[in-house]
Amino acid sequence: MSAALLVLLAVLDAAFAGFRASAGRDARIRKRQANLRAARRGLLVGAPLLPAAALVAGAVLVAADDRTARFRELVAAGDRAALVVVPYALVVFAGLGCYLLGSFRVGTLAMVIGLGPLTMLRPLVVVGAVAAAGWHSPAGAAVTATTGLGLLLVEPLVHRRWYPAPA
Amino acid sequence: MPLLEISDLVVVRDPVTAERLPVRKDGVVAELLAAGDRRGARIAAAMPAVDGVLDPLAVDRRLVAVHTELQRLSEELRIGDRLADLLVPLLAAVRAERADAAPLRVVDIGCGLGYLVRRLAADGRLGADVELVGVDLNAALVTEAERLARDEELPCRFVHGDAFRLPEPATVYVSTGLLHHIRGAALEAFFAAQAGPGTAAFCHFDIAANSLAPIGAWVFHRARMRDPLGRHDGVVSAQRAHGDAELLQAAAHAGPLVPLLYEPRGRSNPFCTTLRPVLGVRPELEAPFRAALGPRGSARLVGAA
Repeated sequence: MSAALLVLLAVLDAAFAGFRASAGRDARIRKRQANLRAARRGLLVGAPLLPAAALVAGAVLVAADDRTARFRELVAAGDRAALVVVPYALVVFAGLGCYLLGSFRVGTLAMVIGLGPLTMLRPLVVVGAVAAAGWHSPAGAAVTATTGLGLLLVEPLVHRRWYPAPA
Repeated sequence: MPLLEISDLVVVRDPVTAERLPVRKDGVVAELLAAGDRRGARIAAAMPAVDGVLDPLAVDRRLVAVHTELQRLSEELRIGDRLADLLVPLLAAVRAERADAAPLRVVDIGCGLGYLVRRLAADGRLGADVELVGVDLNAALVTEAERLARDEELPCRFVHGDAFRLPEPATVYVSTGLLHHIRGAALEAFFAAQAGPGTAAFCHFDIAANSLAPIGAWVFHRARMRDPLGRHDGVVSAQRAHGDAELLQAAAHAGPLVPLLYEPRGRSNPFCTTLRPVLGVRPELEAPFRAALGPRGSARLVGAA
């Protein structure tokens, strides 16, 4: 269950990373299409993450003497990572909801105390998730570190590839 | 020590002709160092120069990039909505008091890339009888604003020059993030220039000066802006923002317009109001403006004590 949730959050994160990579580079007013294109680019760059993480998970499973025990270890590591990531994601979604649906005052509040600082906290949350998953589990650390590192790279890679200068 | 924004130092104009003058890089660096701003000096020192003079084309490109990033903050902090929230009732009051049906003109002073003007033009909230004009002294920013407006076929125009020397005066002057660039007697003169007979009101948004502003500016510019120059100037802007009383005092030089502050300190949640406007309205417009704002909006509008 945690694994499916983490995969879903990783996909969403890649899309948001694509959006952030484009933000501040397009001064047009109407940019819904441009924003969607940026999110797709985030997904495109983030897409290889999942097979990469699956590959690492497969490798640590194959290398284990007791594959059932290693599988359980990885599931537990995923549960611990989810304990760090899910609360963060819930706060982000709540902030996004207030920003998109609330009045401009509520939207400003959501941005000032929520979405702005949360963007800065994101790398720490990824590090926290890797640390939690890797607690007494080098195999769990390897899988989550692969995913986490990949997630942190999506935004700079999309930015460098498609948005190096204002549109 | 003075708080200096790099963007104020790298573009210098002749005070009489407004013609752009060459700027020596070592002079900018020395000025920042004298102000105790070593980080700012490092940023300036890294800017391209030819024979010691800052490359004007490179400076323009950099400023366009910084303003493009800056627009993201305006979008996220809903500055367009905030301005429209006041301009709609303000223009309703102006229309109600006018005998003729002449077009109304909203002029954005120091418009930069013209985000506000283009945003208002795109959503058409102010009405078809309102002409939207953006004015800036920086030709590169105006050229880019024109390009962006043309690209989206927006009904607005941009002028390179002095907003107070337009052939026709503004019905309402507006600005965002401009006031903290104007200091001392120049601020009083800025408001006095808006007291002409053709002008009904002004509405200038600037960073709300409170103890949270520099911290908030640091967080937001770190999280949202990539250019070190933009990050630097964003934090300095918050540090040198004018206080409420200072703004009201300066705005009083626009007499007979009545100076007012909307959502000043103590009447708003600082987390909801990162920028707040100082307004000036013709005395006969104050009552209809307050009526159009409604009781809650009117309660947020205060004058000099």
